[in-house]
Amino acid sequence: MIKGYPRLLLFVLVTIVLLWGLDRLLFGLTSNGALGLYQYRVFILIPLLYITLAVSLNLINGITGQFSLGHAGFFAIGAYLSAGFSKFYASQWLAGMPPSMQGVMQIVFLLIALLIGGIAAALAGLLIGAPTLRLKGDYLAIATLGFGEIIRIMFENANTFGGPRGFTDLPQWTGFGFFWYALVAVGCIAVCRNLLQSAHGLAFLSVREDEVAAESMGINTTRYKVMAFILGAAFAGIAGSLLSHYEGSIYPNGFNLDVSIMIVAMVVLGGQGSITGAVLAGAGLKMLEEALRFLPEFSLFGRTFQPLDLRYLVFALVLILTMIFRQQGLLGHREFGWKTIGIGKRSKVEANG
Amino acid sequence: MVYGVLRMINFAHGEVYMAGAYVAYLAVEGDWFGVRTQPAWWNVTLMVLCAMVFCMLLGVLIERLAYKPVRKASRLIALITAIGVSYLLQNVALLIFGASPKYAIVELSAPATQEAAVTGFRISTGQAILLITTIIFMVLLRIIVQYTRFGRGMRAVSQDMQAASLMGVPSDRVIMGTFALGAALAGAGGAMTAAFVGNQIFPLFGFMPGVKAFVSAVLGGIGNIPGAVLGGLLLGVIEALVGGNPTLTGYRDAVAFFVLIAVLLFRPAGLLGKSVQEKV
Amino acid sequence: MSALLELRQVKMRFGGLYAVNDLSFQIQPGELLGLIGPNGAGKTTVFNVITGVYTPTEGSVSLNGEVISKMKPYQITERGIARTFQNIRLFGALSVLENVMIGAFARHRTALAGALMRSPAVVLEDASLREQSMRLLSTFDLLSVAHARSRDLPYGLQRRLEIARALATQPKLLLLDEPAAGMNPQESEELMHLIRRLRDEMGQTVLLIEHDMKVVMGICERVLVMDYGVLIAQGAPEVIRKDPKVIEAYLGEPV
Repeated sequence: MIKGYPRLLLFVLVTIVLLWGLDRLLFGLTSNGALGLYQYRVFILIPLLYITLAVSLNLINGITGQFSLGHAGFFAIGAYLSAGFSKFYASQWLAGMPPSMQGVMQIVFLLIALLIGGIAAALAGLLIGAPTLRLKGDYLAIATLGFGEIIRIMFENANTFGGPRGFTDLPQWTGFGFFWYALVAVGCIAVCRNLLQSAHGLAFLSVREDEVAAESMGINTTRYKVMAFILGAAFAGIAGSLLSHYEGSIYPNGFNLDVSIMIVAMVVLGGQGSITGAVLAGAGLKMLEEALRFLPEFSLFGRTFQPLDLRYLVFALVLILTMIFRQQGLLGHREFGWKTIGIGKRSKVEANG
Repeated sequence: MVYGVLRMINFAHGEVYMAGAYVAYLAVEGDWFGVRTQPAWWNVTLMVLCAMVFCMLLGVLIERLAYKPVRKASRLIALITAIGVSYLLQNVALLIFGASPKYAIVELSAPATQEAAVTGFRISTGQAILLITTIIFMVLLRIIVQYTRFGRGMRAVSQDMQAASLMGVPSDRVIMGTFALGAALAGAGGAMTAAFVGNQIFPLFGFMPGVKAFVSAVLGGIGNIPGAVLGGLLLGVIEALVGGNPTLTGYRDAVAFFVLIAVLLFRPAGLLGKSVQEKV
Repeated sequence: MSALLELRQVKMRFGGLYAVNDLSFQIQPGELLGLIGPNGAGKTTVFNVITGVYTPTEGSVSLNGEVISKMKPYQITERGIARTFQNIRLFGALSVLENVMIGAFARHRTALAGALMRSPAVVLEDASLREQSMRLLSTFDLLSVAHARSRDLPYGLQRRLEIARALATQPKLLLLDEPAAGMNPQESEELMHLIRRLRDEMGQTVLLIEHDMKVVMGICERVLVMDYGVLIAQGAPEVIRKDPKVIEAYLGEPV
């Protein structure tokens, strides 16, 4: 059996090929009309984005136990800064290149933009994480909420980025989108899963369980909290870059508190600390929200409602009811993987144990 | 206050305040007791009382349905629940009243002035009434906390909930009472702010005041009443300065958060607070 | 012989009260030392000062000659002091094995970045940490519950697990805060036997807090007695037993 780095490389290659194949398949389906472009967008693409967001927030909230209400802030930073790079710099450079190179270079620039989004958000995570993590519970929640709002208000006031009218005419380099959205989601899940499988992951969990005891076990709790913020923020930033490079336009209001709360609801519902839970709840809640669009409108209190207006109510209820009736979330700390459905190599696990 | 007793930030407090304002709006719209057509001190007072009663019920409801089931669970769970409740109320208000701002003011500010003239005070603005009522409420609250049986219970529960209940304090009822009292005051505040100051009423009516109240409390030092007043004043001054500066005016709403983060970083105990070391 | 741990005139003040006042003592390598005293004498505070949870108001703590009193708890653990807590602090939602692995992780060498990619070095290290932890679990007779959630263990096993977890950090000095508290006489006797074995077979230095004097007297060669934050006596158990100051501090209790 192949081990070590070659195995990692193989895994990456197989993933890329598979996702590319799926991308082309979906593209085919949408071009011949079997799958509506709108349905594709709201039931496949956007849920993928929210899987990345929920899994990355789960690293902060669920695994390390640091309650953050500012995930939309990292999402926004990634979206805006990467789009700024692509619109103001990379598109110009691209335009100056011979047409034969443009195809390849566009992918290179997209990768750089994703990297910029991730790094910028990670830096913000470091900036907000390092000092505020001395705070606990409620204080941390409000401080991160404040951070998210500050970020949004800053972009609202930044004329370079279009201010409240939105940042528009951005290069749409992710094309059909599925490949890149899925690649990032899979990457995020793989990184979190690897982390949780190693003893390093236990260090993150120990911070959630009992900080004093973790310190006494030689764990630098501040460092792990900051690392969780950096990693979680980086993926949120990359998700933001995807959004701006797919949609072509972004608006400050798309990154408001509602978004942060929605992601929190996903993590809470999925079970804090469970990656699988975050994936299912992330995709599920988002699809549920979109499905509300297809319900008929109704009247109440003498006014007419779109069922979509109810979505935030639904998220609020999800939060409250999960907390009252099933605090561990749908999946608790359990993971659901190959082994659960019996495809894995059980014997190996037992040999280790 | 609720924080002091339960050691938990009540995220939904701002939303109760909002509910009070909407009650005032309904009262003015529906012309309850004739507040719109023939405003007088007694029917305005009744209106505020209505808001207080409604909010008290709302507070008790929230406590019973949402907070009580999670009281014994971890703080994080209580926190998530509180955020959920706050968010739920905001969106219920959004559904019922819509996003467009409502007013309860116009008909009330003039009579308020007249009423003041009748009683012999020379007050010219609604704010003054609000200020005086606030002071009265504060004094009453102080008396309740310091001198009544209920107040003693509150203080006991805030020290140690389990010990208090072992000593025969009905901690469940005390907590509910605290919520009821806090909610009634928030409701009165909301109704009066809407009626006398004339602020727009919208679903997020309570959100920023809630955040600002919290920031003031943190700035002054949690659990320190003079500190909270000082914090509130300071925050107001800073906001006015930023809002007055043309290049910074767009950041007005971010000020509270900047201040909060700065305080938490540099002086987590607040200006007048003492730092507490965690016991191991 | 140079001391493993040395406290020099340590004072710890909370408000106007000295929880520990002018405390000085040494621990030699290989010693099994008891720290006793009535409730509220400041024993746990001494532990918190040694492990860096508190920074002493005055005085210093040094380990092998290096001053550690201004360090963070995790740095002190890295340098070789591990502890248990009076009010058990396990990682409740994690399994018994995982608890011990976190202790063993204190000696890890791989970088976090490697863990994210699951690099060969990390896989190897994980396997060795796991094996090491399993060995420790077997010493402590916890193998059968290795995969149980630590919160679900009975009380006595939780105490044992906490000691195993502390030992997993490979400490030079092990601090045990009332390890026998809440145990029945038989359990506590077994535990004392185990602690004795740690010292005799592995040369583990141990400082033990105990409220119950009988337990300490049975296994420690040397005992420190504290009362109101002050060291009032130290010496062999037989001597301590007859010390009038100690008898006074434990007034009314049979010593």
